[in-house]
Amino acid sequence: MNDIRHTSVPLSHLVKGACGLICAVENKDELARLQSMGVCIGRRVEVIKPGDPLILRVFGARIGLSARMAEHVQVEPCSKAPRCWEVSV
Amino acid sequence: MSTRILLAGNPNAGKTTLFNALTGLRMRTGNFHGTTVEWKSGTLRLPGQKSSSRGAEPDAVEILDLPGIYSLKAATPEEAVAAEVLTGHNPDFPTADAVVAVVDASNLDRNLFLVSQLAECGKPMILAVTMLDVAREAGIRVDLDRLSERMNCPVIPLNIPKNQGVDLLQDQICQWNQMHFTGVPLPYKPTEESLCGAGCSSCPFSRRFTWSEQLAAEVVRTQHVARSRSTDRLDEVLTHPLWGVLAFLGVMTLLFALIFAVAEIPMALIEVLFGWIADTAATVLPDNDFGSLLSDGILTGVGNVVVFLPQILILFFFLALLEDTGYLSRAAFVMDRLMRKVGLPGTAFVPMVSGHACAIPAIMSTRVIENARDRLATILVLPLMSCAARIPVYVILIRLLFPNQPLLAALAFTGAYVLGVGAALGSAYLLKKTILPGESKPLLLELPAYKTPGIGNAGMHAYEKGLTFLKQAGTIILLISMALWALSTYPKSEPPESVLALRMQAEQSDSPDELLAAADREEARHAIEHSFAGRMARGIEPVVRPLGFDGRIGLGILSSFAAREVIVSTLSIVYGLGEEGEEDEVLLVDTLRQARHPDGRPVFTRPASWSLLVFYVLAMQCLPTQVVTRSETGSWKWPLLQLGYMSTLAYIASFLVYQTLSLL
Repeated sequence: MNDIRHTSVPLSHLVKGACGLICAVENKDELARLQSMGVCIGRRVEVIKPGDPLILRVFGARIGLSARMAEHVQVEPCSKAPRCWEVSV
Repeated sequence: MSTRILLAGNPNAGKTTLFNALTGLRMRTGNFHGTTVEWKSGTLRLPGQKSSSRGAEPDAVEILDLPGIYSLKAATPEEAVAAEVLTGHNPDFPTADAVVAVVDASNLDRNLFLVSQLAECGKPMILAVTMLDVAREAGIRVDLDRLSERMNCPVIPLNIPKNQGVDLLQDQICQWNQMHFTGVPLPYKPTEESLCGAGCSSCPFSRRFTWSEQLAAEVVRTQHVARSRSTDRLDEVLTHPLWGVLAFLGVMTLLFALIFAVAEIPMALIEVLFGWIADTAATVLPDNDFGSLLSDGILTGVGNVVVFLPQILILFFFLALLEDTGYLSRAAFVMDRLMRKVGLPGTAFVPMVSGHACAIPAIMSTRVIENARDRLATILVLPLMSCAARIPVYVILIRLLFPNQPLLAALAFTGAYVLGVGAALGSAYLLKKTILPGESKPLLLELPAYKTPGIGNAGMHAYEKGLTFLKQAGTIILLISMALWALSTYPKSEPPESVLALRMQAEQSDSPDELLAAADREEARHAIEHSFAGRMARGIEPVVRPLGFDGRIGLGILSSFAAREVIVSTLSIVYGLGEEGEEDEVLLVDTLRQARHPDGRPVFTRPASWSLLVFYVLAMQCLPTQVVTRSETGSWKWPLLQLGYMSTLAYIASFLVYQTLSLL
């Protein structure tokens, strides 16, 4: 857990255009809702518009998310998240 | 036994359009047992069959439209219900034969995620692929043959606006039992636990995401990647904390003005039509209790129900159009931060603005609010918005207060609206602190790409809502109207001496018309004052006296429970102008200004008029709204609470206003 903490930041800290790999979702109450929308461990997200609420691109869709929830999503900053077929072709 | 086919898919995947194309108007709607989740069920329109031929043929194919969902995880009531139906655990729809999964080609990976869960339920499946044109514009081509091969099930491309593929899908549905369905090959074992939304221990979610991403990558061919820049650019403005809010207020003002302006025409027509029918009926029917029941009780009651329809139809038509463009989720997005302060979600704002036209469609439109607590809080405070029925009352009272002072009158008008909104937000805050504790559900919603809306769908949506209203609230509103009619009609009283004297005079006069009319007005006044309603009004007089009201105003308030504007015609009757008096506003205002208590003091003093105005802003006086609150919350507890807290609020506020102003 410790090394995750070193490199990971809350999703709400990412700047516009930044990408992150989700490594922990700490919001137990909203876990199921977040997962349904694709905010789930192992997914890549891109911040389209920071703020409260913020706009994310995750799993091919734009998602509006309150900062309150984004604080509980830990991400590791990473390079741009292309759509799956953009890497595979 | 007939066949039942489930229609499942993500929100915004085009499921509703497909449902309408498959079934036409042959459908029923209702709520899943014990929930406020709506189902729609229709009979498959077979090729060559007219959509008007109703009736359940033995070999009919039923299409059940499940709510739009992202997964079967049971995170929302919609998902829970969908999972129940798919696993055969739903009491309303215990069986299902096959699934048509609606898949948005422009967003294949996300849509396939739900498909993976649907596949785990093991029902024969057909994939209906929509939005292929949108995908093509974005540079995405889907290899449908490959998809069909990998999914091991039929894949039908659809372009519903151009009516392409629907026939093919219909044929495929009819042959569902000839499909040699062997299951969708999934690379992971759907265990008992992961099946259809049960718990998630080692996160089958991740495996499903990976599966759907890999499958999408395999079947999608891209030439160039064109991300929807136009949507991003529009979002820059429309989700901006300042411009977004301003744009939203602009859109809502326009919507509101449209409802007002457009609905007025059919509403006036309905009122004229029902008035004419009632008048005609009165001349044809015998002049006794039965005739009066038919013309004044039932016909007026039916009119009271139907008169809500134009607003319901227009509001839901435009809301459906707005939703279809993708704008409504932006509206919820920008309003969320502001609304959250009083414990309401951003999605509550559209219903609250609509409440200024009429609380009934507004309460019906709270279904967009996902969370039950948030929805209840919104429904409870909605009737505080100044609806259109309050306007005639405001007009009369403000004319009494500010004759020939248009600026002050306009300010008072605005003040009444602001008071309503402020009271609603304040009450929401109090609800959050008391009986509905907790924060509003944090915002989490998809912001779909903007697109041109479909008029047909919006029309269907409005039609469904109209039907729902008539079915769920119509009968009770009719019964209540009849009860109120009976209260103001019985017991019958003999015409008083003064009326008889006037009639005698008329017999000897050369121009008896005026005297006879005066006699009729006097008789109407006497009748209502001696009816049950009149007696009740005298009973509550001591209660309303501290607010500055007399028994006649009390009677007006009681009669308002059918609809708030009724107080105008009641006041017109009790002040001797007859029922037609409400049409001559100037005369009515003058008469009210002349009105005196038995001891000679004027009735409508400034304090009393202000007090009555505040009372009408805040009081819950609309039984039809209460009926709709009951049908939307599923319990009489909530409308009673609504009645209780709003009446208390109105009473205290009016008391303070009257007593304070009287001291000055």
